[in-house]
Amino acid sequence: MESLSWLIKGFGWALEPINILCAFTGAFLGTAVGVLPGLGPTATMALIMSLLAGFTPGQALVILAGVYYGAMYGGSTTAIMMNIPGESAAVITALDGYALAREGKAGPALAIAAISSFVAAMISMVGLVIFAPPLAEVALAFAPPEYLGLAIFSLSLVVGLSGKSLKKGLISCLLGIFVSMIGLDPLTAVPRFTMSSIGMLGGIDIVVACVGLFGISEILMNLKGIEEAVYSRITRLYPSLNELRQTFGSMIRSALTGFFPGLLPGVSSTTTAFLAYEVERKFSRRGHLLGTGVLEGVAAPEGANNSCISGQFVTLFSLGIPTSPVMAMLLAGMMVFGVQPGPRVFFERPDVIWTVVASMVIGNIFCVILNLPLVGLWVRLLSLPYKYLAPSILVVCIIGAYSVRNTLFDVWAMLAFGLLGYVMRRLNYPLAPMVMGMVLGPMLERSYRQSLGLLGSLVGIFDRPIAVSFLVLTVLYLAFSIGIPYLRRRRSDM
Amino acid sequence: MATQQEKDVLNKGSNTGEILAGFLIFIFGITIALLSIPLFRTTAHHDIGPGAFPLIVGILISLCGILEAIDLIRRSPEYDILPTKTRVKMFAQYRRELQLIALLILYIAVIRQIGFLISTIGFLIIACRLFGAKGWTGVVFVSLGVSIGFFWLFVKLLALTLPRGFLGV
Repeated sequence: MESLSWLIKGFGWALEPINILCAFTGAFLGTAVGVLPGLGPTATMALIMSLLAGFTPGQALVILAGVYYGAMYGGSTTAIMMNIPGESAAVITALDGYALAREGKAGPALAIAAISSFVAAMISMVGLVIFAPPLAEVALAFAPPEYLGLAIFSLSLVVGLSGKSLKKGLISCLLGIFVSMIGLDPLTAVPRFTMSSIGMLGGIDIVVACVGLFGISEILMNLKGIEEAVYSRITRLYPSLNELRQTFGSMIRSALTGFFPGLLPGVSSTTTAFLAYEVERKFSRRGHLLGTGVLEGVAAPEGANNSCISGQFVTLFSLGIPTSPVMAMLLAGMMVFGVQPGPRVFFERPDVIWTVVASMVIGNIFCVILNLPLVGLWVRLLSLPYKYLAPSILVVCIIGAYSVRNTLFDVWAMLAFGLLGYVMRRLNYPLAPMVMGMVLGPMLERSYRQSLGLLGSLVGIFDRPIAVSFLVLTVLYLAFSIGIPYLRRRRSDM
Repeated sequence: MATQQEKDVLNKGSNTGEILAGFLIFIFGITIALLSIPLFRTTAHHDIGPGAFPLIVGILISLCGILEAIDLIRRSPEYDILPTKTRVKMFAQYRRELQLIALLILYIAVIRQIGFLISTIGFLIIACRLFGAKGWTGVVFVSLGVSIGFFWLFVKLLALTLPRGFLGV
């Protein structure tokens, strides 16, 4: 099998000392970010992207990927110890996790969370190796009309990211598409919306926009501070053999519940965590006890939120579609480091892709080590006063923005996006669709214009079966996401 | 402490903000569409030009904005004209955010002239106080430590270029 031989080569690259160090750095940073409330993996990835200029594309992507799955591990630590989920995906973990901590079982809960995350991640990585390359081969047949269909389908997932208001989600997405158009037109180099500013000619860097949207706005939202909570003490750290046996089924189920939905657009780690919890409630022998403090209630969501990552990587690597804001940041990272995303990346840069995949195994091992014996370190990190932490984060944001192109224009742009993000959050506009718009906007415009040039008119797109399939999927997805809830509401109103 | 009546009015105020945002987005969308019309020229064979896509996006933004505003107006409850005291209270709750934004603007404005290290020390001292730090000794100590630490990490270790002011730091 070709994939297997590439995976073995990937391990060869991933086991080089510098790549091991990168995997550790990503896992460490990600765990720290997951533990500390207030700065998520998306903002952190945007922040550090500009600081990784001296790294090779493979090394940089290994670090960025490590931040993502590290944050999933770290988020569970505070969820269990203090009932404060460091990440939204850990919200459901807190239900049983904190109850276990209050019974003096914080240690086994933390251990099961880490072990379940690791087992599910390893199982789902097998899925990544099996599914991603064949999907990429199919996608090699794509021409501009197929990319147009793909971009439309990808943007339809805005529905899933819009929360309660679809119109607000659409507005956010369209604003993101507009931001991506600022600068020189990619096909004709005509300046667009630059207001005669030299700084604007280069466009708005996505890293700068995301640091502002997520980082600065988060600090402004938390200006009144984050409550310091009392945390539980750890007595026994490791689970017994019986506890491992009890939760083994949960780990396997959560791996599948996280991976397959993770392939779909709009499904985040948080969604799969909730899904796995419900599946566990129905299928586990002790499902009726979920919520009262059982280890299955920790194993299921933690396994699912990590295995979802591999599912999202399948879609990212094989089709070049980001199915979540974090994947959009990774896609942006690929572009920043010169790795052209899309189906060809498996064939043009297999060294990068398979190094990242293999490093995920190594990085997950580091995460288990960081989250088990070193759990005390993370609990101490929480005692850092927010009044000193927040201003420091602001300085790092400014350093990150300045380092992109060594120009103050980017820092001003970051501040402007920070204010925009703050206003959007106050007015209940979601931010994730804006990132999707910024990332997918260029692909949408390019494929739209190239399709028109190729076919003469967009009607010709209906002669292309793959493009039509994407359009049909879009209609089905929108019908399922919008139409059915709308009809249900109308029926209940009558 | 706000009374229940004032809290209700403040909540309605945020609805007003959303309605206003809807109208502003409508105007913004129209502006994008108008600015893209001059770009609507073909500069290459078989290409519709750089103005077509922005025009579509501008129209869609304005449509979504006006629909959102109309939808919110239809769903909004009735409310009286807000008294000045309540209006002041509405903005007063954002006092600290406005102070932090002003501080950030000042920091970015002077960073190139004064240099990263000195401007960061000053920024951190004021920002920590804004975030609730009490006393000056701890604040100055932490600000100095963090600034020097960041300078060493990003400039010396990671070899990034940060603004150097007239003192060269």
